[in-house]
Amino acid sequence: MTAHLTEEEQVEALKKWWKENGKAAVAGVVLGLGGILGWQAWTQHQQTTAEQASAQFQQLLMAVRTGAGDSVIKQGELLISRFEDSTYAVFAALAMARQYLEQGDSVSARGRLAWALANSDDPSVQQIARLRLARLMLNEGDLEGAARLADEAPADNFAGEFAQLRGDIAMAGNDRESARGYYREALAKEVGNADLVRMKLDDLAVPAGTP
Amino acid sequence: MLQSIRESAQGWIAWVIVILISIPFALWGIQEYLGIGEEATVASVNGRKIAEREFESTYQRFRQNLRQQLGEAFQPDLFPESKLRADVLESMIRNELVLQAARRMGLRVGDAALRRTIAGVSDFQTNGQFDPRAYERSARQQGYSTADFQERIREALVSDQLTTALTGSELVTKRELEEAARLRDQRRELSYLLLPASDFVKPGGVSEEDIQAYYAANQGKFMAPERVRLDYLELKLDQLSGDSDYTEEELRAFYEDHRGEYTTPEQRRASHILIAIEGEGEDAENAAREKAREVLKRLRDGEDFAALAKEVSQDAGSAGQGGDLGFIEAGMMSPAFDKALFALGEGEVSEPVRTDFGFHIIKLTDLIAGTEKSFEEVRDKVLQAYRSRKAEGLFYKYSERLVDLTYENPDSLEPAADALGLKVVTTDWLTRADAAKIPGGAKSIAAAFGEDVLDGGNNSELIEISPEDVLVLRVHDHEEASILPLEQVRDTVVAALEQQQSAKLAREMGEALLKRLRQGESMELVAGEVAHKLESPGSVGRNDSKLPRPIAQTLFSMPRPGSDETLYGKAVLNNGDFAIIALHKVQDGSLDKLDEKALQDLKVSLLRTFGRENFEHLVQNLRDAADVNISRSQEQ
Repeated sequence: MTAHLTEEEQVEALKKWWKENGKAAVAGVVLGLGGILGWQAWTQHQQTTAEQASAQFQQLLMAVRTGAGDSVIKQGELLISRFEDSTYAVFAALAMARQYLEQGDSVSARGRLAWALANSDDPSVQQIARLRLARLMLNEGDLEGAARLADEAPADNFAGEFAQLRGDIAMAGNDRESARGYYREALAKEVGNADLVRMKLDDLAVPAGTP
Repeated sequence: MLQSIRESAQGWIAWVIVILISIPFALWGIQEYLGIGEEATVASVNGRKIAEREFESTYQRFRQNLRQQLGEAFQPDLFPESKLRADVLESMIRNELVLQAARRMGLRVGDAALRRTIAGVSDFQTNGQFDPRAYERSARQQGYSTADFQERIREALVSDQLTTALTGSELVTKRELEEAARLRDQRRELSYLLLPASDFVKPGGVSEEDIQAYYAANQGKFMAPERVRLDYLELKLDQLSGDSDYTEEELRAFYEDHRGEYTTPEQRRASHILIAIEGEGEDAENAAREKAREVLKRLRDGEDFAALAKEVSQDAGSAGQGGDLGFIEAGMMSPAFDKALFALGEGEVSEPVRTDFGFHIIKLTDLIAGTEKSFEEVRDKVLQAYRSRKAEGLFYKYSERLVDLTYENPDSLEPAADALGLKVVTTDWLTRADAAKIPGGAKSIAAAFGEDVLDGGNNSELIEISPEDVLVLRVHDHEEASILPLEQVRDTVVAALEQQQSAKLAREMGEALLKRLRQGESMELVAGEVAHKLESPGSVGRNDSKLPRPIAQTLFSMPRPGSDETLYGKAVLNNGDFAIIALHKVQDGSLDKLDEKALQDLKVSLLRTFGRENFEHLVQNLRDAADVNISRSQEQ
């Protein structure tokens, strides 16, 4: 812009610019607005879905509380089929696993725990599912499966629990010496149920002089 | 170029640009004016701030709860404020982390569920119905607007979902139950021999050198604590009597002013039939009114009120009692109800009365007339009340004077004592532990050893012992903590050394005997030799109360003996006695021995512990990964 324009010339220039670029500008605005509205609708949809899943989960909890076992399973199935990607589905799977175990169906219980482990995004929730699954495997004598899961566990604040689990696995395999080591490790890593672990360790005491 | 911009800037395009630019500036900082500026914060958790105001109110609530739960046992010394504050802050941080995790996982609670929960909280209810006023009151009490309060409840619900989902789904396997029962209910059969340390005391066996050495090494044990003598002025309500100077007129005027205290109000017993308005709007109201009129007509036609109340009244609380509400004083019910009730003669029935609940038809069933005592009848009482009221006034005035005078003369209590006719009391020597020896107890001790009074040499602030008893104190004399001279503590030192010595001898003897036992000698023989009885409690559980703790601990951490084998262990008791333990047999616990209830209890306790502890690990994982900044003032 070397020379300044009069007001009329300015209007003229603007009109010309509009003629050339008007469509593009309108399209831009429409796209922009559409994006914003679309995003809002999407988050709104997300929220509504989450709230529906939440309400359904609340019902499932009610069934757990009243001891209505069949209802827990049915509600859980429904929740998982409708909201498969939601955290509530993982929670439902955990609740179902417990219910299956109470009913003596440990195959289904393990199935649900494995599903929860595979479908949760949260490392701590994964740890909880992993630990429960491994404990079930140990209960059924699948020592290798349980040990494999313990190996997969990342080292975090659940380390004490997994050390205890390894101790239990060693005990089941009659390896008392390894069990001692794992129980000691569990106590050092602040296992939750320390009193019980101390009892387990004390019960493995050997006469002084032997390692 | 600049020239052209300058000139173009005159045109309307320029104005558009200026306006566009100015918008952000106009909005910038607007929150300052709207009152949503920066609030003081105590910590930030992953960028979310914990406001100081919120922290303070949580802390105060927590402290109050602690105080209520512990009652007399609450000693401020045992719960240092800094520790409590740090604990409360940490738990707030953890709550915030759980909430953030729940949000990240996409947990939400919808408006409908939120409303249902709020309506179900008993604190927000009156007569079993949700009451918006009660809700607002609760919100206010906790320092929230109702909208904020609602969001707080929503947050709590979301966090709760996460907690319940994870802890409530915890499981316990058969194997774990068996193992827990096996260990927890394990019993061990033992006998033991106690070598009392007192057997080994050698009188005069402590040398002067040992005494000196022990005294030098343990001076911390022989400190005379810091102590003070205090001067104080105490003002009590019952020392002040507003007596002698009253006139009969004053008494009468007092009586007139407090007439309510010498009369009992009229009480009216009412029954009612409630016709609630179902739905909203004028139609619903008219329908209810019509229904109420019909009921009234049936009454007028001679039907029994109580029977009819049972049949039609929609007040669930009273319908069963024939509508009876008991005795009512004026002001207890809503104004419209009151007005109608107090206009009725005994046995009369009112027209339908409209209140918030609907339409009431009221019947006056009984009446206790109010009583009024004349001045002459209650003169003694009036005089008593008048005097105590006057004394209260004096007490208040004197307390204020006491505060003023002791503040204006910070280095003496005399001016206040002279002006108020009080006597300065001087105490004996007091340590921090002597709260019981001074009025005001812990409060007075805290003030006496506080910086302002002890170091500054000033009078204390007014210490309120009770609403009728106050005092101001100052330090009369002060002595730093000092080491007690040996001569004063010689006996203690000798006793401690003798104990050490005898415990050592007992241990040496015990170790020697243990060696012989392990080589195959019998317990009976050894016991006979030391002339102490062999204790044989038989088979004991882990928490058997007959057994001294250290013995039980050793017993249950000893290796298992083979069949027909006895293993030996040792334990030193708190008093220095030495115990030789013979473990004969270990008997594991078993699920089979548990009845249905005991089995259930074991299961529940394992589920709870596993659930809680695993959730705790989750929170600790969140804590480790979180970016938490605690403001400096809280760290101290």
